[in-house]
Amino acid sequence: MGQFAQRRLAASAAARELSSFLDDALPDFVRQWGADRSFVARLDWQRRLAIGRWVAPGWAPELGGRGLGVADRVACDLLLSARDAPIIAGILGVNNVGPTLAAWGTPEQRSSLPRILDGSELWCQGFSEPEAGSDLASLRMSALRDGDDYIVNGQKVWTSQGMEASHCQLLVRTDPAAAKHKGISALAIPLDLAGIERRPLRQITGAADFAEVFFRDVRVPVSCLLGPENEGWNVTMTTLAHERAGVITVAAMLETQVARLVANHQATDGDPLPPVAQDELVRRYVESRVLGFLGERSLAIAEVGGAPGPEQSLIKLSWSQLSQDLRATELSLKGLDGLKDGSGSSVYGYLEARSSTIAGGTTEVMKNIVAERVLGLPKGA
Amino acid sequence: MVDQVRLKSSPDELQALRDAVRAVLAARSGEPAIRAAADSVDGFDRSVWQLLSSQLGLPGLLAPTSHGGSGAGFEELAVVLAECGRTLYPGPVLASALALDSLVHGDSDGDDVLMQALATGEILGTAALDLAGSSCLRVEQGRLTGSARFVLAGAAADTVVAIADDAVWHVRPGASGVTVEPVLLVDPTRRLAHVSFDGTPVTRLSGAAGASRLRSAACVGIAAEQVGGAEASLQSAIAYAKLRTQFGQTIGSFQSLKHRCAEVFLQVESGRAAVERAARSLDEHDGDEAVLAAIAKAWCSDAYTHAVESSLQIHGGIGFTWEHVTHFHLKRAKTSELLFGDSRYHRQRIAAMLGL
Repeated sequence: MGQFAQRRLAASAAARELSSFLDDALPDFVRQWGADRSFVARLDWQRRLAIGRWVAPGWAPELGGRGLGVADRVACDLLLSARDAPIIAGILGVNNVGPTLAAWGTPEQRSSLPRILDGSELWCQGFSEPEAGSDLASLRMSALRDGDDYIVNGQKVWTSQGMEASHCQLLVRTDPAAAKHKGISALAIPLDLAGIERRPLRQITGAADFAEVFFRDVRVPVSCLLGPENEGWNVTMTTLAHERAGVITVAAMLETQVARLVANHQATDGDPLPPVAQDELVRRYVESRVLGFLGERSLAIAEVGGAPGPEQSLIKLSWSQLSQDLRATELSLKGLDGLKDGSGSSVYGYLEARSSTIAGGTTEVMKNIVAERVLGLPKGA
Repeated sequence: MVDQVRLKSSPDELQALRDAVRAVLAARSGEPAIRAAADSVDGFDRSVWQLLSSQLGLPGLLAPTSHGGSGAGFEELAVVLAECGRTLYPGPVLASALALDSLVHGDSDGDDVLMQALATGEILGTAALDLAGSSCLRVEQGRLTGSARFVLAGAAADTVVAIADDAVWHVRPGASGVTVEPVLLVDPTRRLAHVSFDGTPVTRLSGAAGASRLRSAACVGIAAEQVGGAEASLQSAIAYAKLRTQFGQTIGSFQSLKHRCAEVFLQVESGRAAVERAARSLDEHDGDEAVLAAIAKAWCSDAYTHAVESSLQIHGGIGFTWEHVTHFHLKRAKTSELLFGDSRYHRQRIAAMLGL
């Protein structure tokens, strides 16, 4: 485990409680599923965690959580990762959609929250479109009012877990005449409505975690509106603000991965690395420690109640670069043996890491955001 | 070892310290003063040093209050050194602090009068380290022999702590057998000297742990200065990019410049986090000092040089002129990068610490 992770775990009483829960829950799970980490297995794991109220410990107690602060949430996530617990199936619903429903939803929409926790509802986010990637606000999917319904037409793409999901937080254009950020609304819909067609999108890893989702004259009741009409952009920003703990956790996990790689190459047995390879590995070590320091600093700010600041964007920039460099270093150390295909292999990690500088804001867009909003450089023409 | 109650500052107190140092340096050690000091014999203005000593107590940050200091630690010193780095302040803040820290953390009771004199800034100290092949010293029967190269403020210092045989030794003011040869490198704001010892009487302050602490302290101190210098260089580049117009728009609106600035900002903030963490480790004696200090020095050495090179590029032709301040930062960055070992050197040390 990385040093940052160790410090966080030691400091968290919640993590100690979770740890004793896992002492029973994990062996039970493994008895039934073995090494199976398929979607069904992960769904079962989520149910087990839900019984212990450990799916979303950051949620308010009345919503099924434990009301934990950022530091404890990070510690719990790190513990789950260190104990090699499966990733829950409904991760997008728990991390992103749930908090948005809690903040903006009607009582009926909020009634989804317990079902999001136990996995009986699986949510995806219908954001990106073929013509709206980095420039998300230019999305075109239209929702025209017709009585008590919207008629929705258009296409979503790169929709994570779009094939497995039962529900979707959908961004649509309800006012085509308004400025691009102002005419967007958020809808919370079931995906079994007539006129919705889903197709898996195979990725470079060979897995199909994405989907394309087509909407043809889909009737969506107005009661599905999430937040006020034409306020969809603000509603979505709520979701993104919840990523703070996630970004810090990813930073700490990366530090842990580098620590493991370093441990694999300690010269106690076998030949020492050639100097050039050693230097490359130490570079990754230094980068991972420095990323951990940034994460700790961000946590310290969060713990005294500070608002998420530029450090969030910086951690994302730094983490995405390091995750790619780490995979490249790992492959370089393994040679051609590392290129053997299959889930969990070095090359799988390398391929998967290519998405880290694209998903959740490309590196190029993140740099623009830092330059304009933090450093105050003027917007481009 | 001097009994010491560490007075840990709150974030607000650190900010107040930063503001106070910045105000004095802005008033008394601006660019014209730096240029004048660079041309002077000593390399720094004694009256500014006295002001920093009497008004802000900077030389005594690391000394206990019982010895005329403020009982602070490296967290506070790092804030001060970053301000010194921002303005290229040429006085011996770091050099004297290193000597004081070794005396305060010596194994036996130190010389109270001498510590007090260092803490109040009456006398100046420095450290002769063995990093990056900078010295070759040995001690036989209480006498120090050999030469230390590129010693910070070596000519101005009254007293020296030196690493020899993996232990820390103290050379008292006026000790015999000391020869000082000033060395002026390309950076006129950083005065160095080769210091030779020939049977110089010394007292032992501490063993391997003390030597390791002294190396770490030196690395963290320089890294803190580097963060300040890098930040100043970035801010100067941003200010210029907002003003300068070409092709009918401010050059700061070009994406290539924005991305360069964002990358430098990430490196500077990462360096700041690394220095804060390493400074805390020195204050808490948590056992990680050596690796954290090496990480900070490796990171900040590259970050400062890269920040100034980027700043020079963004300033274009004006950045290449003698009258612009950027070249002073470039020369400081290069000197600081190589002093006590560059990033490659420290990665090698880290590899050894990790058992690679």
